[in-house]
Amino acid sequence: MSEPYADFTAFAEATQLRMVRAAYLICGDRHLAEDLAQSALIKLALRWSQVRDGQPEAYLRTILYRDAVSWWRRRRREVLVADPPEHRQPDEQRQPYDGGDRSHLRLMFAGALARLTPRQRAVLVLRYYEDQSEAYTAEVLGIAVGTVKSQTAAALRRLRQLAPELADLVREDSRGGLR
Amino acid sequence: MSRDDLREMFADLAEEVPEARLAEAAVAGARRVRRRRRLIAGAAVAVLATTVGAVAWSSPENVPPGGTHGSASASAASKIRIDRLPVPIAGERDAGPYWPRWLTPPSDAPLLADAPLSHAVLLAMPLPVGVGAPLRVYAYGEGSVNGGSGDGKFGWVRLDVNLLRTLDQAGIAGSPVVPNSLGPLGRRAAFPQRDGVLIVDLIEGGVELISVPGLNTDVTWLPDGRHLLVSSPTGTWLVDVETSTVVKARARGGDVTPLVGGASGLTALTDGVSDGPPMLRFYDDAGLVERDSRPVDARPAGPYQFGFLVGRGWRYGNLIARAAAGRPDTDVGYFVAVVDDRTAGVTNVLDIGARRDAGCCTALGWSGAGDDVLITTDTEGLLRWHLPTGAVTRLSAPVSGIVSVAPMGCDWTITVDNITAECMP
Repeated sequence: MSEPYADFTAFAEATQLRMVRAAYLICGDRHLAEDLAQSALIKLALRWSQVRDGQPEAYLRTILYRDAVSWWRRRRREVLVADPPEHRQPDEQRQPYDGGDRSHLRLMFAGALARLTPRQRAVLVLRYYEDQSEAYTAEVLGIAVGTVKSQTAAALRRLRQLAPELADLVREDSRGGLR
Repeated sequence: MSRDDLREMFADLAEEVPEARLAEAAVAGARRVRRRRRLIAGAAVAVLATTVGAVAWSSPENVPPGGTHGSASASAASKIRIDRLPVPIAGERDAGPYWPRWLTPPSDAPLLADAPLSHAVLLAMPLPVGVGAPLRVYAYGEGSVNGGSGDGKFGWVRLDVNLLRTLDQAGIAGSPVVPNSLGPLGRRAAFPQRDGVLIVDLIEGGVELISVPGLNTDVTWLPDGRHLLVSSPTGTWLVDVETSTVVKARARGGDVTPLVGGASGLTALTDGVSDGPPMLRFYDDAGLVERDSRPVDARPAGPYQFGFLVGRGWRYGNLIARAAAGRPDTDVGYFVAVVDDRTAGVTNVLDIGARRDAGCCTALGWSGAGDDVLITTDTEGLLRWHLPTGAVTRLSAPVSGIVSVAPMGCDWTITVDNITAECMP
């Protein structure tokens, strides 16, 4: 391995799984998630010499999340898709809540998540999966903090509407965040 | 139940994704991109040979004034690609639904408030029929679902705005819809008005009139979609649409070539003085400070010498596309030229043809990451000129009216008022 990329490889190996998983939670497709993560790592590698001494993880996260949110728009422009992703999740995947079966909850959660907008998913993934602050989330997605708050509230409300059985999981406090 | 439970649900879901091995592939991918960029940069320096159609320009009748002919001109000309408008022009089969087949909006198009967009592709203002007929502005774009995502359905909407015609110092009326009215990514639209500029948020639906002194006749968006230059015959102002602040700019807004992607700074392309060649002027990111200027060198383009510039220019990276009329002492009519602002030299020419009406043809922007120039003509319609191959195809049928296309580029960084914005490709 040539010198310029030696520390990049170590960095990429340390972060790649987390990035692929975050992309998967946003786009819902494992192969696409790997493509998005791969593409983001390539872009980071191209700027590695400028970024390595700063915050490469923040830079990588910014690329990944923005690409994950916008890939759908680029795809629509190139290929007309019959059904937008919000309508793809069949209702048959909604399982009755039996009071505690984790696999059922996971399916319900996945189904409801798929029916949020890409940006809403990105906001929830950053805030609750990656446990990032509102300010950091705003910076990564290139939106205002106010938009993070409103998108979070809208996403949680939508989850409750789509999967009432998850209502306890996603009950908000008075400020729009989770209790 | 708490946020910890939601985090746990996410973690459960994410566990379905196994370990990935991407690092080495990322390094290999970056090396491939670097090699490709070096090849492209090398090709841009060498440039392409002319096509067979360009042989006509080397005849004695078309010798450029002050230039030479014979073998010296031929070798100089071989550095520039000369393309011609094909007859007939093939329509792009897969242009829709992103590009409308017709640029004429339906008169019963819904209002934007009733049919929200996720982004606009273009604006159109049909020429009003009859004295005193209202000016109607329409946007064509992708519909919105669930708070802003595109729904895959494209259509026309009407903007519920009352626009007045612009007036210059001579009292000549102009259109409030100008070629750069539609801002980057089709999110906002700007319309110059007397002593103001009307800003429409095409996504949220808000309308705001910002005070900008002068008989304003043109707008030029910066790539951040937040700042724009509003210009009148007597000056140009830099406007921040989010804070409504207005400061005087140095650049003449109408001459600035909107940056679509691939660079930073602002470049203006202006007509030459006293029959001289057009001038390139270079400014900082906001058009507040002029840094340099140099004349365009079109001598190697043979008969395609600039008589006067038409419409406005558009910039992708270091390439500027603009329509022009040929010099009156040549047989050249209208053409679209691409100028490389690093060398100030012409790299590509598309011959639109002679015996065209005044105002027939203009460049409307770039698409395809800097490979394609968008052009509109009165008889052929909205066209795409693919620079690497010279192919010209039709996207939409012609229309009489004003059209503005959304700049959709990326890969730029600008700093305005100590705030840096960037778009990463």
